[in-house]
Amino acid sequence: MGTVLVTERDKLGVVVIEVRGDVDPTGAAELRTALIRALRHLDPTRVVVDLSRAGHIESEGIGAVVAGADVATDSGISMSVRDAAPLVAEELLFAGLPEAQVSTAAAPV
Amino acid sequence: MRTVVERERKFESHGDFRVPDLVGDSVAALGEPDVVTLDATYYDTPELWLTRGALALRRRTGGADEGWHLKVGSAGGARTEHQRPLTAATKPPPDLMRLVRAAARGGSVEPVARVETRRREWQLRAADGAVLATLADDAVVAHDLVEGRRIAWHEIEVELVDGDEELLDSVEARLREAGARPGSPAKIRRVLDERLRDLTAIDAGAATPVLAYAAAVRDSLVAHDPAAREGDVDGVHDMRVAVRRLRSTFRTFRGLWDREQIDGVRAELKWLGEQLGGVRDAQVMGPRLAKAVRHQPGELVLGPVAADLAERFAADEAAALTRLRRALSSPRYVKLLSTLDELIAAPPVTEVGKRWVDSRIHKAVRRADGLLDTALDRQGEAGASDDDPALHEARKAYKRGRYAVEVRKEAGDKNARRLVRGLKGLQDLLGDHQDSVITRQVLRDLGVRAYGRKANTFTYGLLYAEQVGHGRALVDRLPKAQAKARRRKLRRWLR
Repeated sequence: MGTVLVTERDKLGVVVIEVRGDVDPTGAAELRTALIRALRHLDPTRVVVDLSRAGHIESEGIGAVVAGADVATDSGISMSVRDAAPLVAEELLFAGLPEAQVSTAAAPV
Repeated sequence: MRTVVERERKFESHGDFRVPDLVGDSVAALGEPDVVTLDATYYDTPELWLTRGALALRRRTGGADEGWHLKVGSAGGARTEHQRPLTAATKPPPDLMRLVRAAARGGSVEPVARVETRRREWQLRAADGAVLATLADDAVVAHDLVEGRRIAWHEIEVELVDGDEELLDSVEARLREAGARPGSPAKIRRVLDERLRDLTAIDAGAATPVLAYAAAVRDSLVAHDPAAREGDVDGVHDMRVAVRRLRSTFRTFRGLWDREQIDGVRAELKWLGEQLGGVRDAQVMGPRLAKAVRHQPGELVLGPVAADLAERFAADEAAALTRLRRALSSPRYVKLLSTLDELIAAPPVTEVGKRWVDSRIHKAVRRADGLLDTALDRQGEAGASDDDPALHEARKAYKRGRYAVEVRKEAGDKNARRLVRGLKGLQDLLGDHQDSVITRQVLRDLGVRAYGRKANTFTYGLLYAEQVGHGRALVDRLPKAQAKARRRKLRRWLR
């Protein structure tokens, strides 16, 4: 299954990009474009990448999120990642995302 | 020129050593020493793979920094030390184990040596009470926990505080009189020295220098693994160079091994090299282009070029680093290391003589000469472009040539050392040129993408043109560098 991205902006200016399915290199490029577009053109107060419904994420996907976080920092916008799988969270932190910006999905019961 | 101020000196001595009286000259008083007892247990595999990879994993009690320590690159120029708090458990912490799992070839580690140190530390004071230097005298007792051997010695370290180098000289003179010798290898290496010698002995006749070189490069690859895993710029670079050296050695001297097996391992090394290369390229290219943009006059930078570059390379580096970490944590990588071990430890399938080894080295260098001749001839033709792949081929061939000569250099051959140096200038020039060609490809790609977004592409074109000029200038310098690398006196020994 390819990557599906759902971008929503609420009244308070919070933009949530929900990532569904596996993120392959093509999906990663789309995610990067969506993030940059949200940060530069949607005038957000905050950007959240929701990974609760994401499947396997290729390394390019990690790159996309990290690049987005860099752009966010430069633009003075807060960006965070929600519900990352523990291994993905570890890779994001390792690639340079601050710990405060990454929340991990609760382990399945 | 950079002046290095020496801050400390190390010495070693026999087990009965006593610190001599150091009062005199500028030292007025020593006072009573502080005494600390340190007890360290070192962990390694039965084959001592960690120690061979310049890694030291230990559990230490006593002293200010007691706990679990992982020293990386402790063989030469200590670089990093990872520390974790002491635990009751006698098994190393899982996160430190993760850093050395590949180096341990996927196996488990056990205590291999115990080093007990009774440290007495003095402050060398001037008449006005100022601390000039500190002197630590370590009485060391070390046990090889596998073979039961026990050795004892002293290590002395003098570190300047407010004193000068003259003080170091006078303290050194007195220590030497008392029987201390300058220098001191790592404690763990000292106690395991004999076993390491047995484990690393290579006896393959005339092929010995080739296998010894490959073994040294493999150990350096492993030594850089933890730093590369963490994305350290030097660690990634050094590990990549080690991979290239191995690939090159297995090509130049391939007749020593089973053809199918050597082709397989070369393919795996290529895979590992690509993972490292991805990170390296992003780490080098990003800052280089950012600098090039900064150097442009403001009116020539049209659009958010710097921001686009930063975003692109942040993504590239993070992705490449993630890929590298996944690769280094994979069973495939551990298997590659084990295969390397087998190839280096097993006797060659063909018996060769010294002449065979020399002829392979000579051939590798001559091949590079030939390829560069062809490439430069083509540069002389009308309408030649400097991004001709022939130049890149010559560059790769010179690398192989240099790595082949390194086999003799590592075995202590002075002529080989001079030739390696002579080839390096030419190779650096070819390397800079290739970087310029790659930079152009990246700039073109960035320009195409910007165009796709309907953004202004002017600045990318400008930077591209600059790179063309730079590349041309480098090509113009090649004939002179080539003549220098081919001087007869560098090559005479090679036939």
